[in-house]
Amino acid sequence: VSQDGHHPVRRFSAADAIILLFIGAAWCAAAGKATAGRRCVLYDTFRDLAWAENMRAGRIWADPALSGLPWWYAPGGPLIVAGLSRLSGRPVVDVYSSSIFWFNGLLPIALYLLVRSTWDRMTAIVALVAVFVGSYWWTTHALCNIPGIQGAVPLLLGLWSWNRSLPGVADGGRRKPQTAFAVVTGLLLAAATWLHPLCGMMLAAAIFAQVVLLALTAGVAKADQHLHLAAIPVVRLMLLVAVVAGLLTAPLVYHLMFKVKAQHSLMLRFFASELLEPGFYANALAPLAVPAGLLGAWYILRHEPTGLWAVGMWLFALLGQLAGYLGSRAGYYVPYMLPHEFQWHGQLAAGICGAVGAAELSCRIGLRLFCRGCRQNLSGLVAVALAGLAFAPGLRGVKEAGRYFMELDPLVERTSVLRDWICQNTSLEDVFVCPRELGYQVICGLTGRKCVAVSPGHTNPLADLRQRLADLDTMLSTADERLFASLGRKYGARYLLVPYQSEQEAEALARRYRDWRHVRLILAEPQSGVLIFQMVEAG
Amino acid sequence: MTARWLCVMTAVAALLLPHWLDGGGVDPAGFVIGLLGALALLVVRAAFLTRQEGTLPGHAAEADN
Repeated sequence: VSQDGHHPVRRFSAADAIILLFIGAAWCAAAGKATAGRRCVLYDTFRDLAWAENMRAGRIWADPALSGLPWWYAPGGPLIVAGLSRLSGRPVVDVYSSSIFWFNGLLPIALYLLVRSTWDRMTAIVALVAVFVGSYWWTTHALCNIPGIQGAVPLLLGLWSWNRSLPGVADGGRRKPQTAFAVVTGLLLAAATWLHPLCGMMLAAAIFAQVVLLALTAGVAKADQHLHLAAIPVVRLMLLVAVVAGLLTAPLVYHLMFKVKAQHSLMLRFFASELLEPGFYANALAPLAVPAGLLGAWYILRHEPTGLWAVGMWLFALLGQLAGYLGSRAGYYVPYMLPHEFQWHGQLAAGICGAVGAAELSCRIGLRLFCRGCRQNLSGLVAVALAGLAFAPGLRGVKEAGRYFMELDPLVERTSVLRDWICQNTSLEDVFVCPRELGYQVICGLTGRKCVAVSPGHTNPLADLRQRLADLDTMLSTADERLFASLGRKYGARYLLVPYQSEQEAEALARRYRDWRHVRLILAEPQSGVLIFQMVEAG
Repeated sequence: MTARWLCVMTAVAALLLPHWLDGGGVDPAGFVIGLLGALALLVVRAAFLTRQEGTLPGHAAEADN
């Protein structure tokens, strides 16, 4: 780094290509170890599996779990998986479970590209350790195949593209803003938003905050010949990004905010228990990561205007977390949404700042310890030592990398006959009456069929959740056939699925419904322990 | 001096942090407020120094060291 605060030209070289290959291989090894050859998803993934199953069959713009309702969350992730499933001919389940490798694997690559292009190779390598080892959120979530994590890929690539668009960055000193990169940034901002709106918000906030911080810390009014990041061209670039992204995300934003009114959804006010665990919120496994982040933020604020997005993103993420803590825990009336996701995005930014802090400190220590110019490369060793000190304690959490995984294979094998029967004998629009977990994971998640009610946390905000859950409980427990038939008609139900634990219980259940005119036993499936009844007059 | 003192103070705080956490002495909201406050102070301080110096941040590097 030159003393005027500008890096030399940051051209990529063969060494970077080798490092990227190594990163990819290391990711596959880590993901392979965590999954141990099993097909793994998260509980949330069943929601996305259901939509991908529907999309694969051409049913895109509708709720994948409840009949007659519109779509209600960002379709990007399921759309990608459904497309790849059709192209490759592989089942949706396989494509989703393998996305830990081919999609989440883009996370470290995008992070390396971003930090490498903004700072240097050493900082980029340290950033990988700072984020994926130093942050317990990322140690335990980086492999999660959910949109909130996978959406960080376009978020990071968007920041990389934005950084390339800034005058004086892309080519180490040319003043001309790179409008093509600003357009690409707008496209990536739209992609991030379609994958997960919060990821788009983080990217937009980071860009906006960079412009504001630039005004605060770089004296925009004094845009003289030395100031490459003068305000006017940067604001123009930002507006270009906003126009491109705004046009492309308008249908999504309009639908979610004005049709679904997702901003009022209880789901957005979910307060994860991890937000109260020091390991997550305070980096307790690697506490030095926090001061390293602050040191890096200070260095960026003083000397690196091109990296101000990292500080801005961290600030925005802290505000999002604070709203969550105050609104949920302290009882204040503060609107908030998904504070846990703000926390992991904040730790992503903090990790980048921490890498900058560690790399900068190591350069200064290296210059002090070794003679200037002749042994500067030894500062790399200091960087390794500092990164080890600050972030390596987080290695204690690496064994928890798969802590949120659900193994799919036992569920898929146990329900194979049931799913085959459903796929061969019913249509995607058919509604099933069944216990909500069976419905969420198997009926919706693995076959794409519809249910009366599914997991409350994964239900369309437009649905009357309480009424649906109450009606479902009534339908599964009532001995009143008329009431059952009436509720069945209300939801357009075609099938009743009743699980059983033993043959005696199955016989008892069969006897219970034997005399009902509206239901007819059509299959007793012992592998998954389910009786399937057809509701003959309810539809 | 600012950067040095920041390093010292934050390193001390970080070393004490696990003890506070073990004792349950740090509220999550308090931790986030503290972090947000620290970051906001850095922003304000950087803005103040830049305007005081009347130069570019890069040119002020030596003064900050």
